[in-house]
Amino acid sequence: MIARHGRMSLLRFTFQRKRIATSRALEKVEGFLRTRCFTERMDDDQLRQKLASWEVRPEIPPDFQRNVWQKIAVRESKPKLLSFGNWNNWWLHTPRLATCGIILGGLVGTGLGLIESSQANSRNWKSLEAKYVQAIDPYEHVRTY
Amino acid sequence: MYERTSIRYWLVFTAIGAFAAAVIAFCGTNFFGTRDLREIAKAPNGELEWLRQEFHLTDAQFAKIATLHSAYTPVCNEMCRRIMEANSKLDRLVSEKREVTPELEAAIQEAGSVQEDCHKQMLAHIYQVSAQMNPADGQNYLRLMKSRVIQPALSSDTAVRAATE
Repeated sequence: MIARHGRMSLLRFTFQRKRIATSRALEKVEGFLRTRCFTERMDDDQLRQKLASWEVRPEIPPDFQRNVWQKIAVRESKPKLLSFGNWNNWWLHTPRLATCGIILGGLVGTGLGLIESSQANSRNWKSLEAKYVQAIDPYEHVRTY
Repeated sequence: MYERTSIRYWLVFTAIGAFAAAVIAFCGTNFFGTRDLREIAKAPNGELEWLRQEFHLTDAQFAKIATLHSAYTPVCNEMCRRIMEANSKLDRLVSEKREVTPELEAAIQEAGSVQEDCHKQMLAHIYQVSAQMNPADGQNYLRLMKSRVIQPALSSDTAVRAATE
């Protein structure tokens, strides 16, 4: 999979290099010819002929392919920190993880807070009931003396 | 290397952030969720506020019951004093004597009569209070007081269940 991806990127890269080299060379030639046309009063047909006869031979560094394969090998050999099956761990790189974690933490805290406050309210309600009973029952008064 | 540092940074940040968010949410919910009851519990007449909310008293009913409660408080305190006196006298005599003397009999009778008096006064107050409530709430109040005051052997949970049944 990675090797195929590497080959694809190699081809794409080669093609881009060729295109860049060609366009640069064309620009140079066009500039040169324009100057010559201006000085030699060359018409459009002659210019086209000259352009058609011109052939571009882009030069790629000799160790270009080797470098690309080396980069692929280095990337493949890097240990993955967390990988869950075929999942990509893109979400670990972004603040989305933090946002999700904070929202989740907030929700959990709110849930626990609601449960705890409900229990505390229940306890307080019972203590108020006991306080009322104590206020009207002299035996409760004596017991709590 | 950079990638791993970045992941570690986000994991740590996420853990701290999630924990902080959970703590803040927990404290906030707990604080605001219990605020009303805490204020009622702190108030000097919190028990009457409990009575108002538990038995759905109107302002007029609450005012009458508060007056009854204020009038009953010194009576209750007096009964409390009598109970303590009678109990301490009985306790002293039981410790001193080795047989049932007329003095001990009198002390037992006195403690019993104080108890009887207390029950009468308390029941009278309970009936007066329940008479101020709506019939259904009055009935619930009587049931609850019966289980909490007149039959205190019942546990609180049973009493509440009995009151709500």
